[in-house]
Amino acid sequence: MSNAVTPKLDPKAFSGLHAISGKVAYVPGGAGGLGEAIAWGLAAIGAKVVIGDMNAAKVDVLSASLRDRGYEAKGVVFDARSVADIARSVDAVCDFFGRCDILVNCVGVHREQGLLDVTEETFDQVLSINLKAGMFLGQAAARRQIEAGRGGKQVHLLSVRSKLGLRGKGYSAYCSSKGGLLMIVRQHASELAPHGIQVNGVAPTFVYTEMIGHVVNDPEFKTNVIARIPMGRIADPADVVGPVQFLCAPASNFMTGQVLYVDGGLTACQ
Amino acid sequence: MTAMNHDTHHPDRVALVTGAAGALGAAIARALLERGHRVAVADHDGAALDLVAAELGPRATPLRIDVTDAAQIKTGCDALRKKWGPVDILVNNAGILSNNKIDDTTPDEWRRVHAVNSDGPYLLCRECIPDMRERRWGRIVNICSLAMKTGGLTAGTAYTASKGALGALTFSLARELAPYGVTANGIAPAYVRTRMFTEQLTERQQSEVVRAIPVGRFCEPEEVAHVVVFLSSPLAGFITGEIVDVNGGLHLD
Repeated sequence: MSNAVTPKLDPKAFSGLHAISGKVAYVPGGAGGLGEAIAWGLAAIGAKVVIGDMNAAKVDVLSASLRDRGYEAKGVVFDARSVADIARSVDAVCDFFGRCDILVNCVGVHREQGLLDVTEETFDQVLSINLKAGMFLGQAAARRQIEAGRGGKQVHLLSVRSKLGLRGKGYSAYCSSKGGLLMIVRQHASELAPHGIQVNGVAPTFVYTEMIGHVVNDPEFKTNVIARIPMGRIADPADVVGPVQFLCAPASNFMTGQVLYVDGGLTACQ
Repeated sequence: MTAMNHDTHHPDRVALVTGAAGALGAAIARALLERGHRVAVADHDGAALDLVAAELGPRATPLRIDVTDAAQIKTGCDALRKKWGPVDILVNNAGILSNNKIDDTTPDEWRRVHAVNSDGPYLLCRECIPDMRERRWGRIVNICSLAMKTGGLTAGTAYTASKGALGALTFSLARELAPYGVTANGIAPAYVRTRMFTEQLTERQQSEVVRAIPVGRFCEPEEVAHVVVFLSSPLAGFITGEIVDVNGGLHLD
């Protein structure tokens, strides 16, 4: 039928939906526990990877171990609190590999402070790193992606705390910054859609990394956390890798401004 | 995709321009400032430097440095690191000219010219490169000269040789630093209209030179500054070890 609405299927189009061979991926915050897993995950499906972090030693070690395993990898040292430095780091990515097709923003910190004890300095610091850096990493990557005219993918690491408060802990700065970053995802997605750039978020619950030492070292709190997660465990960094790969790959090409919750069912029943 | 015209050039890199009290250095500093960078303007002539810095405004900061003195360079760069952070873009522009040919080139003059034109860039590179290499981004632009390619039409022996050394320094750094996201390039201008170059020529030399330049005029400082901006821009990351001729067609290679 010539006037069928359903387009003709191209069966060949469905292989390789999850491959990103030859794409250049920038992973700022890549020397952290989550970032490292994501860097390996993106390299594993074909990306050339640039690790960005403040810690030069960690950047060197991780990019060298990626290269040792046969992947193309580089590192750049930058300070996420400086907008100028963020732009320089994206320029460095393009210097190394000619493009910046994919941004996976893993930059993030947590500073525990109960509401009554929150200081202006700490609050500003967390917001600057978790929220402001996301804004300007997205901007710097978008500038290069738009200029190259080949579309792009941007993924920001959010948290279930993007939409849920947390009982019993001082999370004002963390929750508000991740909530703000969620809206950065939606707004950047809206503005970048015409350029073929998709912007999405991945929102895990607690993940076993150095950042949650305060959870792991508090047995009672840890028990309570696990009790609220239907799947009955805290996430591993590896749990986050698959969803990030998906959002960087052609498989998710018609998704933008969305959030994948990687939380063992937590937000399904909160 | 919608049409777009975004400038990828993000402002606010930290640039250091030597010889900035002169017309060429000031033009380079001005061009970098116009692109949104912060610019440290270095010169050994404090009074002239203050005038230039005042004219350039608050995003320029004067650094009184004799480029032949490693200790002064270290002190100046440390102060700059404290004020703005490490240097992202280094422009080795400071230089002195002598038109003396071999018989008139004394050992003292040879040493004096090399100290500024070739030792200076080496010392500044040595001071700035560790930060660039660690941060995996940097742009080095060395102001060489047409003389290094032609043997010096009017330029003297020491000057020509010192610019040759600067060109080779550029090549050496380009090769070594390429894996670290740091590019090193040179510019080979000819007869820039400044007190140092064209105004040292006799009137007769001036008219002969202009007649020999196919474009039919001297080079303006802004035209060299434009190349500095280009070589330090984000999309120039694949250009390294290049000496860009800015010579009005006087020499073609």
